[in-house]
Order: sequence, then C-alpha cells, then structure tokens
Amino acid sequence: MERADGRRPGEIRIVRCERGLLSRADGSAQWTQGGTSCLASVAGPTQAPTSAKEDAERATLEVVFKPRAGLVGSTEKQYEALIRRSCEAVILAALHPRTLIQVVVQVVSDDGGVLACALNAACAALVDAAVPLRTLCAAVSMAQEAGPEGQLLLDPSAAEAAAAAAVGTFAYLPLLHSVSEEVSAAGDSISGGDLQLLTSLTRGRLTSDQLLDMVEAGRQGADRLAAFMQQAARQV
Amino acid sequence: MHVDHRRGIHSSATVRCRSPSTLATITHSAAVCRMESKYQALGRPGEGTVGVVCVGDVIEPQANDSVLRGHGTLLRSGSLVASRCGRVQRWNQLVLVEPLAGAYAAAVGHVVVGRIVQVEATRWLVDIHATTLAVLPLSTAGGAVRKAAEGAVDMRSILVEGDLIAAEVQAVRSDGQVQLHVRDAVASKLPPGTVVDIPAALVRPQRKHVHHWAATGIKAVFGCNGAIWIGVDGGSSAAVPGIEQVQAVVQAATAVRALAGVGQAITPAAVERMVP
Repeated sequence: MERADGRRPGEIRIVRCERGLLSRADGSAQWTQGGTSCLASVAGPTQAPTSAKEDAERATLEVVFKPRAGLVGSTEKQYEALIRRSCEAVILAALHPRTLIQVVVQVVSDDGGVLACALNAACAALVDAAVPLRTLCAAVSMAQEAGPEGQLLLDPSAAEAAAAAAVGTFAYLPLLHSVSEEVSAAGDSISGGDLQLLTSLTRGRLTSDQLLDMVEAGRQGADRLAAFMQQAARQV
Repeated sequence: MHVDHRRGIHSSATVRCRSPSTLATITHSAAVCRMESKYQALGRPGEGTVGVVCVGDVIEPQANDSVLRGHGTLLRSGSLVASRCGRVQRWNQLVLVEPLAGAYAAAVGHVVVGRIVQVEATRWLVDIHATTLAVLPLSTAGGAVRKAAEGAVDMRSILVEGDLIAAEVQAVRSDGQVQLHVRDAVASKLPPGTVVDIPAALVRPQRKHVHHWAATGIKAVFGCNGAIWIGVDGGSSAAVPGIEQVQAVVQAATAVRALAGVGQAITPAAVERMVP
C-alpha cells in the first residue's frame, strides 16, 4: 500500500541540515525532515553559574525544549529529559569539569516525528559547537499501521502517526559497530547490543515481534541519517 | 584566505562572529570532495596526509603503542577515532584533531585580555572567553603582595568587577582551571579603550603582544583569547581621551575587525600595515 506522499515504507523524507545559523550561540543547527523542522542551539561549555549545577568531575547538561505554540507541558518536559539523557551518553563530559552545556531546541514546524527531529538537531548543534563527542546520535520515528495488513512505516508524517496503531521514536549510536566498546579517553564505557539502541519512546500497542522489527528497521534509517550528519558536519 | 605555513590555513568560514549558514542536502557529496581537496592543496609540505575528519571517523585503524593520542581522539576497539570535527594533525607520533571552531584553550605563556567578574578574599575571577573563569590570585599579582604584607589588603581598591586587565597565563590545571599572573595588579588595569572580540584561532602566541602608535598616543594589546584591546596609551583610568585619540582607536578597531572578517591572522605587523 502506498503512502500518502508516494514514499516507500522504508523511505525517510527529504532531510536538510543548516549549521551556524545563530551568531551568538556557540553552535546551532536546524534539522528538517519533510514538514518537521527543529532549531537547536548550544551554549557552552561555560562556567556553571551556581555551585548547585556545578559538578567537579564532569560537565552538566541542561536541555530546554520549546514547542512551536502553547505552553511547556509534561510532554515537553519528558522530551527534555530524553534529549538530555541521550546527549549525556555521547558527550565526553569528563573533559570539561565544572562547566555547563545548555541545549535549547525550538520546534519550527511539526508534521510528525518531532522528538526524533529534535534529537538530530541537538546532535548536529553539538557538533557545530565543537563539543567533544564519543560518536554521533541519530534518531528516527516509526509507525506501525493498524490492522493485520499493517506495514511498518519509517519517518511517519503527522497524519500517518495519528492513524497508526503504535508510534515509536528510537535513538541509536550508528557509528559503533562492535558489540562491546573499549574504555574511552574519558574513562567511561558504552556497551550495547548490535543495534546500539540508546533511547526509545513508544506509544500504542505492539506485539513483541513488531517492536523488534521496528527497532531493527529504525537502525537502518539511523545509519543513513548518521552518514548524512557527517556529510553536513564536513561542510565548512 | 591567509596561509600560515606553521599551522595550516585559517578558514574564514569558521569565524564565530560571522559564520555563514551552510546548507547541505542529501546530494551534496561534490562539495565535500571540493573542501577536502582544498585542504590538501594548502597542506604543509612534507607532513603526512591532511585530512578533515568528522566525529566518529576512524583516523588510524590500528593504533598501537607507537601512536600518541592527542586532543580530539578516542581509542575504540584498538583504533583511533575522532571525537571532534576538524583537521588531523600529525606531529611525529602524536595524532590530534584540531577543531575548526571552539572556545579559547589556554596554554602557559599566552597573553590574554580579560574582564574581572568577581572579587573574592584572596583572588579575582577573570572572564577570558574560555570555558571556565580564570583565576588571578593575590599572591601572583606583583605589587599587591607588598601591600598585603603591611596588613589586610582591600581587594576592591586594586581591581573591581568590570575592570579590564592584560595578564599572562601562568598555569593550566588538569581540570581546566586557568591561573593568571601580572607584574603589577594596579598597572595591569587597562585605561579607556575598546575591546574587539574575534575568534581566538586568529591570534597566535607571538613575540610582541603590544603595539604602540606614537603619533596618536594609542596602544593595542593582542590577547591570545581573541580579545584585542585598543585604547589610550599610558592614561589613567579616569582620563578622558581626546577626539583624535578616539578616532584613532576606532580606526584601529575597524582594521582588526576587517582582518578578522577575511580570516587573516591578527598580528601587530598586520594591523600596522593597515593603520600606520
């Protein structure tokens, strides 16, 4: 069954990444996937303003997620926590003790998959700010259509997500290919399965097989997005 | 574009104060090849390959003990991986990634221009546009030590919040804290002038960091942290500069901004050529 905009089930919308948009931020990036666009800005590492936020051994990360319209509610707070934990896993925080890194993500337009777009924008902005990273983090959103003939759709639009039985956002570390990792310069270690799944947020009803299919298919999409993110990072 | 054969090129596209937005679509591979060949053409003769890497790229597939890991690299499963985007620099066995942009990284011996942001009991905290505030201890601030020996010293009578100083980096601790020192704390306070903020990569450590213009009586201090102070030479902080001096200061500041805008390295000689 064809999708509304003519895409195949495993096809991502047109991706755009603009870097260096904001002159007063240390790093900024606008990540657009089809009709969804998020602008992320990174300030730091800077001196932590209060001792409450200061950590003597690593950098503190603060994330603010601003929706396109309306007040900040519990969904936005949940997104903030997910973006913060995902970014903390990739930033080499031990290289900048007692500093604060602030990431602000502003939703410019929302046509489905806004959390995945926000995660990609945050990672691209961290690269733009020259914050040392272990690897890149790429996120995709997936939808499982309702019914016995339902297909697995990659990067659903808002209409597709609303009609689906379940939607999920998955963030991966696509450039890590081995099962267990060596200790890095910072002394931390990442271990994960072959899929290197970092974060997931799902909503709806899925069988366990469908969930595993979703995670595997999402990994392939994340590989492509990471390759694109690297290409965008090389553009000076 | 200025080519400094010691350290490679300074690309104007990476200045923080005027960075153009870059648009990359999924079919832009041609531009990547163009940029990598541009770096190779201007690479230092006799060095190894000049490569531009991105986060996660493998620099050395088998990094054994003969390879020293420098800044911007990680060891992962026996291979050397980049943790920052930038150019790979190879100096004998040291491999590091020089980032294309980033905050000022202090090193011992750098002359910096900073602003006092906090006065504490035995030290001042100075903002030098680095990731953390720098520390100017009372003990290293020359002239004040003698006063301290006579009795309790009032820190505020020497330097207050908002004062601009020119100092030298004495030490960089392992956690990144920068320690400064000056010959005389009172004399290091800079008289009225203006500070031009440019990317720190454009100001390299050099022999002379101060330049005098005798004709107009103004002085410039080139801070390695990207803060160039230009102002009245030898005046006290309360003196009001004359109109010719103000014009000369503005002219020199404009020259520095113009040089920074095209990616030229800022040295006293370069500014002298523009503003004799």
